[in-house]
Amino acid sequence: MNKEDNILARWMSGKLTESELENLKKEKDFAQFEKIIDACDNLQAPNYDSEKVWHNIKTVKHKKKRIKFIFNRLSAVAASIVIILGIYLAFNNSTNIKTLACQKKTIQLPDGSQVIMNAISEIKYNAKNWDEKRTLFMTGEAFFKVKKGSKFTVNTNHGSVEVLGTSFNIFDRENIEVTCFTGKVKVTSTENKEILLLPNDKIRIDNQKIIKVKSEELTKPSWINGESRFMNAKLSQVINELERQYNIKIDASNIKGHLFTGTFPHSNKELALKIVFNSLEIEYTSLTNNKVILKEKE
Amino acid sequence: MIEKNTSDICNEKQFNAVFTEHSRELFNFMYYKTGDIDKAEDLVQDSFLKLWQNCKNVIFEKVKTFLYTIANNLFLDNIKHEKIVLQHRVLIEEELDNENPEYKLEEKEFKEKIEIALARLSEKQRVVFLMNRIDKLTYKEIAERLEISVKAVEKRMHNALLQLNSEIFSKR
Repeated sequence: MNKEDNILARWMSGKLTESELENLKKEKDFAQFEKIIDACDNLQAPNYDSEKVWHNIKTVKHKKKRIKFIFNRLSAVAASIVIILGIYLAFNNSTNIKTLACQKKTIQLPDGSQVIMNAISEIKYNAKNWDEKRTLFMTGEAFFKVKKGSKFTVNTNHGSVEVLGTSFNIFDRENIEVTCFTGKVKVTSTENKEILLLPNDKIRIDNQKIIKVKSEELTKPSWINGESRFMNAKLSQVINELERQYNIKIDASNIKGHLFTGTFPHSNKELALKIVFNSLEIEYTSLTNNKVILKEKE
Repeated sequence: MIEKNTSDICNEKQFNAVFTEHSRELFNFMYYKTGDIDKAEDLVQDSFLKLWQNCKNVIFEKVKTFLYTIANNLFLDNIKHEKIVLQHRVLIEEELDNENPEYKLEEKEFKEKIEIALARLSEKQRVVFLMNRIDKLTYKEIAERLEISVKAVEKRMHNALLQLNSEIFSKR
């Protein structure tokens, strides 16, 4: 290809003559060029909130204008009353479900979708509105089986997950981890970064970074079957889960950082402690008040 | 003496019309440059504010060029103090028949490669390429906005495709 010619540019805008096109097709990479352009033609720019931008522009513009002080104060008061009422109404209408330590719950949502909650988790949603808007808020960990239908959104403090009909697990504690089991899941972080997950994709959002984590091929998370599985997980994370499943307090102040790979059951506290701590050469002492103290083995 | 024109940008209605017409495209332009939605929004805001401040000095026909030039200058001011980490997350439009959960893995992987390769293009090539492929602007329209020649646009398009090809298909 002649460098001066920029023939690819003319090809991309459909301005080649018959014979020029014939010649170009003979290029060895031509099929690759076509593949690239096909894929690029399906790209879209990200969502743009023009109303928000316009609003911000107007706000700055009008800061320069002097409005009567009295009117300003009045309008501010009217606005805050409306907001307070708004919040009160929202809370009134919402269904709140919590799990405690050692507890798991299965919730049926109005459309037949299911949420299975792990210990120390909470979900909040508006049952009345559910047909129009399938949105809920959660903290903790839960496994979702979503019936096909309108957009289903789960909001957390670390980001939101959107899906059309699928099953996925959200782990929202020290950071947020989302695992897709079936279907397609879109995760949006609080910084508006998006990622699409397919079955067996798992991501973690930690300090605004999205990290892809290896996920095993399972059809649902292990904790639903009464055990917790870890692969090179920080010991602190394992300890937190032990505390939640057995309602105990573990004192790890004398312990360095460790990584744990293994599985502990939810139904046998002694076995669970043994599995986790023996493998890491950590001594543990159970006290009577549900407390466990850890010490590094000499 | 300047005549009062119905296409006076200092008129709020007129200004709103200019915003409605151009802000989306300007946002895309800034996004292609920065790869950051929030930064792109801020740059659009600031560009329009500058336009408002200078509304007496900009004639209607030159609004587009003014906006693009200002936006570009603001962008340059911005990066003097920052290292730009390009995290292009261009939304990929998918076939909306979600009845089929069996997504072609190969297709998904190819699209990921495209995204990465786009982010690794030089800014000049990337911006021109995306303005043409996503915004569907002609080379003439791109040349007008960026104040470069059509030939320069073509050169960037040609080289962008060669570069993408080499990134995506070379055996690494």
